[in-house]
Amino acid sequence: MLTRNPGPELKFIAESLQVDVKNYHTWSYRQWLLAYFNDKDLWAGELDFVDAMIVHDVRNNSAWHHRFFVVFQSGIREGETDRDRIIRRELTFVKENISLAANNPSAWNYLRGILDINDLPYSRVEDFVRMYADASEDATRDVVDLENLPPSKGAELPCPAATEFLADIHEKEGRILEATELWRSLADEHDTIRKKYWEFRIREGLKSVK
Amino acid sequence: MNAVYWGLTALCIMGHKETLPREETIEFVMSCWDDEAGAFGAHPEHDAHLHSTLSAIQILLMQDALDRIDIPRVVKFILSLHQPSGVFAGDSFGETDTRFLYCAVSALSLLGQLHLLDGEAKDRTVNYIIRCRNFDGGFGSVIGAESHAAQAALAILDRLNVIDEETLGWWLCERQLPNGGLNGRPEKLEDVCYSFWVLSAMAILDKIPWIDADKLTAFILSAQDLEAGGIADRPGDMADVFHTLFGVAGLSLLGYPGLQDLDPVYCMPADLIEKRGLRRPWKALKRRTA
Repeated sequence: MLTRNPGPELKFIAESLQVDVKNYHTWSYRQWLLAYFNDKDLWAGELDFVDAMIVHDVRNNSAWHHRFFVVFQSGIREGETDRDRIIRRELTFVKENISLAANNPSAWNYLRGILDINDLPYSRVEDFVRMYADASEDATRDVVDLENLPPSKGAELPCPAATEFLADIHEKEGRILEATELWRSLADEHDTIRKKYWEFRIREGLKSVK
Repeated sequence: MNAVYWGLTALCIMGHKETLPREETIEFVMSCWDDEAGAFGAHPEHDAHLHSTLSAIQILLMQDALDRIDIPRVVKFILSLHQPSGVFAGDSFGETDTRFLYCAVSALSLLGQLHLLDGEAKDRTVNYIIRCRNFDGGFGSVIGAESHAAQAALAILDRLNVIDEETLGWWLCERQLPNGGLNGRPEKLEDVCYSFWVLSAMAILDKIPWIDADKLTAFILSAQDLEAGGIADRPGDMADVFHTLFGVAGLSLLGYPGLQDLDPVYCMPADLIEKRGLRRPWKALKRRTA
């Protein structure tokens, strides 16, 4: 029976996702529904929905992917025209979640995504990233700084994704030798499974210096 | 049909093609012909589908019986599934997916009919794939979908130039977990079949050296069922033909001794693809002697 009434489908999809939170086709269907009907009432609850999924499992890559779609790739809806505010909101959101669970590739990819799609330099988040690339204990602070939320106690530091991010910042800023030091630490200690990849980055980096 | 393709290919790579009786295999393939649609279904009496049609072509090619196919009809079926957006549907019911795009392109290529997808048709096919690229550098199965492993279609179409190879290579090598296995997306479990899906893409991009080959080899081998035989998705699980093929395929690309070379673009014996003049650039690890 064709009802062409998408509202109940969102509820149906949410229920299906309870059982299988990362089901590729279910998320794809949700996305299709939102894009096809493009109804503001359908969109209205979507950010809350994605929030809840990320709270439920901060490592759910499908949820992070969906959030990127909702925020940055589905047009600008009423109340969202102040893009700077949206960007600040999303940066705070992703930093909060990295603070909660530092070794989460989905969140780090999302952080890159925000900066890439808005043409912002990676150096904008350098202070934040440094806290996670730093193995020392005194990365925790007393005063809460929303721009630079520190890692939660017990986080495994340095976080390889942060080290990689910091190396990319160094590279983009022309600080190749600092970048190669970090790539070396990844190759030899913190991300040895990708040793050959990090050695590739070192070679390419040094080539650009010559 | 797909299972026969998985089994036969695995046997070919292990050098024991004769294990499956040639005539019976061909008969089975032909019994899946859907004369209404002009293509192959997954089983007798099943509706034709792009995926099973590709598998049929692959099997008949390996059994040197491609002449049994009514090529014009099959080509008509494949091209009829090409959508205005550039992607392919899997069958007349309309599900679209870049994996079907791959099936179509591969099937046409194996039949020597890829030239029929030219000019505007080829461009919109390639453009569809480009639009599937996501913010993390990976590609999804439809525009907007989450990144998931595989891009051999572009290799067949000789349009790899549209890819940012380094970013994609990075996203692919990030699939390797500390235990050596590969996953299909961030924060998901390792699975032997990604030893092929991810590895073949890396072979095409000539970036297999970025993978820790020893650890991946060990992981695949540890997923074997040493009593009943076969390879499972991960250690301790039940073996099946699907994971057996992709485990063996992965091992072949990693240079495991005693195996035949596998063409990662077509997932078929490399010598067969070479003979048909279809070899595209790719690089596997050198085959080790025992």
